[in-house]
Amino acid sequence: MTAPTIERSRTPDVRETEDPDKPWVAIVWNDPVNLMSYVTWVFQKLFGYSREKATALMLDVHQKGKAAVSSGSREQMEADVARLHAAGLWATLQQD
Amino acid sequence: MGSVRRRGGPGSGGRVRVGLDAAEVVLLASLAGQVRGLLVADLPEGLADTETDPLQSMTALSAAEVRPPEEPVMRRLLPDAYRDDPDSAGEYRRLMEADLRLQKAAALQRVLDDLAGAAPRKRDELRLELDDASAEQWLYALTDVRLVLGTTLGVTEDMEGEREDLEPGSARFMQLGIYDWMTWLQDAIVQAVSHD
Repeated sequence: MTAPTIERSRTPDVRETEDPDKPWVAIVWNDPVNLMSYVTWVFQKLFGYSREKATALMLDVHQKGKAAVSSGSREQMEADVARLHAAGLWATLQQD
Repeated sequence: MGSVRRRGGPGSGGRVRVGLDAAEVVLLASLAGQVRGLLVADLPEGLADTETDPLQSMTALSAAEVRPPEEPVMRRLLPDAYRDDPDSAGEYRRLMEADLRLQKAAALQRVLDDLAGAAPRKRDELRLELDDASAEQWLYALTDVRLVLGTTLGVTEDMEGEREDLEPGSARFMQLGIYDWMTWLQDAIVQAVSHD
């Protein structure tokens, strides 16, 4: 599995709008195809969560339409989103 | 009808035994091959047949402008990483999309290789023994096949009503039957690898 460790060429005006103190989160959105059992397994596999925590997050996705499944730096969340995309989950990142 | 069983305990050393009949093997190989074809179709020349190499894939794409795909199927396979920020989404896609395509293609290729390498056990039935790493690749590959089928068929979370009204033998009836079989197979493998 790869992680984005590449230097960014982002424009300064984008950076200036970001509050460096606010953490980033990876969000998984509900979709009609992915299985509840599979999504739970993915959360356990990718993040090392317990069965209970993974199931609770899966139910949030299923019932509320989305859930923040991890948080950290922007680079860490881009890496998490990449792993979620590889697993076929519909994931985005944003500043919390 | 296929079968999926756990051999040995979960965790190290456990294996998932998958039994598939001849028609199921043909169906799965066809679908996996088609989805793999979608993923490698637009890759820059020379990338499609190589192993996953993030550095190579990024350098190969670094000069190209990468736009979000227009087809719903490809948008679902390769979603935007930023919801309301097209600039960041485009930058992320430029850096990551080729590698994501190659990872997905490699998982699908693993299924194709496993199917091709398994010896028929009796008559036309195939029996495969998947270790945890291989089962993970199968689950990723089956997910992408189901995403393509589900998006194409317009699958929703509650389709029981429609299914009951479908004419047996109609094209949609059979397509949803294939989708349901893929769902069953994936869920069976998830159950076999899941543990507390």
